[in-house]
Amino acid sequence: MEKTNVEQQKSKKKQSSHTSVDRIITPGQLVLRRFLRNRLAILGVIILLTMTIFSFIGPFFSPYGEYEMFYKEKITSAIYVITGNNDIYSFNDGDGALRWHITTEEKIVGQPIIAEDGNIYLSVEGSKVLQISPEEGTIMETHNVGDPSEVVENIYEPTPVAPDNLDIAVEDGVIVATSQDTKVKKWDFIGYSDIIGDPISDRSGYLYAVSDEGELYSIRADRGILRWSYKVDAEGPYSVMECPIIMKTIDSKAQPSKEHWLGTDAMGLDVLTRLMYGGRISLMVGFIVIFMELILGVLLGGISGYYGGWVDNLIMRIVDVFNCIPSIPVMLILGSVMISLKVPPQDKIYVLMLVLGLLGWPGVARIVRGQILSLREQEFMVAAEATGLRPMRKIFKHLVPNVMPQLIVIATLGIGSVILTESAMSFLGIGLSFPYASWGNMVDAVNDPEIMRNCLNIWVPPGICILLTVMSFNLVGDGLRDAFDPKMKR
Amino acid sequence: MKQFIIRRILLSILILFGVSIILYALIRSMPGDYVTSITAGNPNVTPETILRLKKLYGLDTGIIEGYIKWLGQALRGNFGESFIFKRPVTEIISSKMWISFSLAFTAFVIQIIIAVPLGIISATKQYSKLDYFVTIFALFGISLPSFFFAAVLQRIFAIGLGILPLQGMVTARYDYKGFRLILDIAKHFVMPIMVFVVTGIGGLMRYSRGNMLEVLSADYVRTARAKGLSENKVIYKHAFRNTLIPIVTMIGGSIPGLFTGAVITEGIFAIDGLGSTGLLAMRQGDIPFIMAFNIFIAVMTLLGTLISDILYAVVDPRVRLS
Repeated sequence: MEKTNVEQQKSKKKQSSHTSVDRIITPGQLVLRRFLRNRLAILGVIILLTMTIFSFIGPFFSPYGEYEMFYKEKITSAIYVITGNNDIYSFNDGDGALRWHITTEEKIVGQPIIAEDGNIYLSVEGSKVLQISPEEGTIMETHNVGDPSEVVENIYEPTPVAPDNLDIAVEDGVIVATSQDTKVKKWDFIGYSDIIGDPISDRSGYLYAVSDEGELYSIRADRGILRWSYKVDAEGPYSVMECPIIMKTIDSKAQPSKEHWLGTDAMGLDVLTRLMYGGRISLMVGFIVIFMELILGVLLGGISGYYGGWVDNLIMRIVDVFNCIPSIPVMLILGSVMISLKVPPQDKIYVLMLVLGLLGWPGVARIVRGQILSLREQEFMVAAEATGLRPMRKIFKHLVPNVMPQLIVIATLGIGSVILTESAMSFLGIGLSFPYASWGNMVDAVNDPEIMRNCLNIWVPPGICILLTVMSFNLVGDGLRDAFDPKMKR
Repeated sequence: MKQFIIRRILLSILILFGVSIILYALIRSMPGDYVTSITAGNPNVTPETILRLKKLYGLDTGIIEGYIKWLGQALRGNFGESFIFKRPVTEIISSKMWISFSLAFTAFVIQIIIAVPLGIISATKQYSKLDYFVTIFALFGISLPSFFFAAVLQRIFAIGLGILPLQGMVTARYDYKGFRLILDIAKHFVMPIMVFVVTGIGGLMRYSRGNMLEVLSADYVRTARAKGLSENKVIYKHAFRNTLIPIVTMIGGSIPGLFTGAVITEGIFAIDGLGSTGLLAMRQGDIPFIMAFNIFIAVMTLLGTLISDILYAVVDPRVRLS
């Protein structure tokens, strides 16, 4: 009894020492070990994981939406011209565009008053005061008082900025600028009609003057040039007023800031957020297209290699035909077919994926066929034959699993090239279109020369994302090939 | 050999037939055909005029009938007249393809000069720093989107430094002649060639490196080393010559593809080659040109594989074509 116990212990010891000397390693572990030893491939895996987290989880942490436009508040001057026809015209300071125009029912009496908040108070006949909003020019309220100063608490006091320390005056209907009592400029070129009233200046030092013909002039005094002019279609007398106004404009092409780490693009959308959503598209397209290519390629390549003969011949000729069809022209043609079929923009990407898959399978089919041609002559297939399995079972249970290593490598390398093709399509405007983001159509912004020159933050990040992702897929693919097949080491 | 070539040519014709059917069906299902787009917005156009124009451009038939008509003409070598250029399609292709070719060929030669030696040296010094550099650079080139790289080059050299022209083929302001004209064109070609070289060099580099590695692990290399030959002799006399077989085959097979032009790169740099012309034609629905252009690409692809197969047998006498 004792003896056997000792023996048992001995044998146990022997066993344990045996396993520790050469632990059994499965082929899978061997591959994994070889893969982990490849530093470049590990780098690729890390980049890919980062990209996946960035694009699939990142949007949950981004405070903004994919197509959320951003606005900024800009203080500009609003220029008002009041005419004898009871009209009020409101102009943009920048380009002289007419912002709004209203005609009051009652006759305007006296000079209007502008409050600090920008509202215009207009006294009209019948001792009433109209309160007009500066943005839309709508009559917000009618006060039953005789004088506007009774309702307005803080009257806007224009602080005249003398442009370039020039004194501006009107002499005989011509604006004249004097500097220390010497005449320096005369703007008699701006029209044949006479300037009436004193020109006013805004906070930026631009002059505004109105002529007796109802022409409004905006003058840049320091350079002595006319910025813009507008002919008011109404009768005089005319008067001109100015008041700063807060305008909401699209915050386009903003430089990187705390709120927008990569700035905003031409449409005022947050670049970083769109980069995340674009990554989703690129990665999703890559995986789905490769999946389609693999299914089609394995199916047709497997059948072709196993059966041989006329089936093989037919399938290989189809492969040849698809191989000869140039992909970019076909995609361009399909792009316009999609427009005619009125495919909605968000569905275009599915059509694109379908077509990329249909054009890409021949490469997979060729490799699968070549492998199966050599595999089917091996002994294990004779054994499979002897068991009387159905051909489909033989192909997909016995032959295809043996091609798996090659398939995994092709798939990894293929995702990279699919992402490249997809981004090129989006760049040409065939893929996903605005407002949806993809890395390719974000780089497309570079076609605007101003963006190319000044807004590197808009088009460089998506380009680098494409480069990094495709390169990582290639690194991982190379690493996998080396790990699966050490003989072919790089 | 002769039999092989004849069989391959016959097979190619069959493949071209399939390609042309698919392409024709796709192109004809394109929306806005040419007649609709040129008559759009013109109030003087009556339905009769449209019908007459459609007949003139051969758009009045169904897809099958149209294809048979097109095929009948194409078999006689008549690919029709381009809608937008109003000239025979074959004439346009044969004139534009040389521009594309000169650009792509220069880039190809530069690629070979850089890639083959680097690939071979990095294979002989596997796992060295140079080897890692070559591997990463090759991958970088393969992974680089050409449109992005082109934009980066334009930003740096044309806008930033201002030393190269942004796009086009000649400076329009000057009427250069002779040598100065060649110099001017060369200056315009620098950036497109850089794009071609960097994005295309990776494949060739990896190919020559992989082949060299394979040869270096062959038995006869071990024998040569065992004989006591110097490493230089082993590599450059025994191994290198054998790597040349697949490399020459690949280079030969790539040459026809150089004629087809690059749609994206030519488009970005406004090079008046076959690629950008094809892009223009495809955007405008110029059916005869699109058909001929795509068939031309298909022919060149088939020719490339045929040439590389034949070269394989020529360079390596052990290979028998069947």
